[in-house]
Amino acid sequence: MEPTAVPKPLALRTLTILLIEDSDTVRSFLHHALRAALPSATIVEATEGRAALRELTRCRADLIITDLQMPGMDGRAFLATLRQNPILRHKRVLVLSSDNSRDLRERYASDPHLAILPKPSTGAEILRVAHDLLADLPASAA
Amino acid sequence: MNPSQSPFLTRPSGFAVAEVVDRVLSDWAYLSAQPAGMPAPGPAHLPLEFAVRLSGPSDFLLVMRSTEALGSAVAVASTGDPGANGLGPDAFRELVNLVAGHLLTECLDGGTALYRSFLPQASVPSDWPACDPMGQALLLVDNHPLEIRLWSTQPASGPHA
Repeated sequence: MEPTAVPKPLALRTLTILLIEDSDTVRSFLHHALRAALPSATIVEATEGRAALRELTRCRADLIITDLQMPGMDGRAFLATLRQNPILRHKRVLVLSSDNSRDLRERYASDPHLAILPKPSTGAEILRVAHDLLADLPASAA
Repeated sequence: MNPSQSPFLTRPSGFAVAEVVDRVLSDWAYLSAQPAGMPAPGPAHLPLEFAVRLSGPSDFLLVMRSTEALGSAVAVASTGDPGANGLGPDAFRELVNLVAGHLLTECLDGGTALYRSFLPQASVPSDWPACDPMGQALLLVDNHPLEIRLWSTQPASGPHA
């Protein structure tokens, strides 16, 4: 795994990050990359959207990192549910997907709290975009 | 011609398919793939096999197969964790998923046309179409064989067909 450079303000914050990914390999990579760069973060994991929604009733989740293609509730259905929920609709979401279609980019282009990164992305790229997504989140909320 | 098919759809060669696999392996797991010609006809003992059906304006079937050792090598290299070698089948399944996504948007018409969401499924050679693949390649990754086959599962059409 490559060394990751973390913007300091993010590293200093106590974050809760929800990882939604069906691949054990990718989840393990993401967990280790986040743990190495953000040692004080709480990392919660789910393998599909419905399990992730259950986790959101128990944890605060400052940032959600999600795959799109998953068995059970996939990422698109999860995001639709999340954005229809008045409490959860402003959650910061980083989508990791090998789908680079115009349809995907257009679907989420107007969502200011959502970013898309291609799969595979490096730990450094993921942390950079996570920092951007969390930049306007009040420090007290994270 | 099927009117729902894009007239601009190209048919990727085995070389183009191999290039996508090499790039995904390199970007994700820091592994390189060496071209080793065409897959040998007939069954080979490559027990790790996954297939992805790509369904949209055109239909394709991607099949990739290799050894369990290659799956373990990908798991360890992509996570940087020597203890991840038990994740071989999962890592190989994710490799097939990544290759399918990149093939769809870079070599087929998935960048602009709408395709259904897909998930790799375990497969065996008896599931393959009876016809020859439109693109196929044999690669060596860390000295392990990796076979890739891509079929068009509808009659292809258009100027490049």
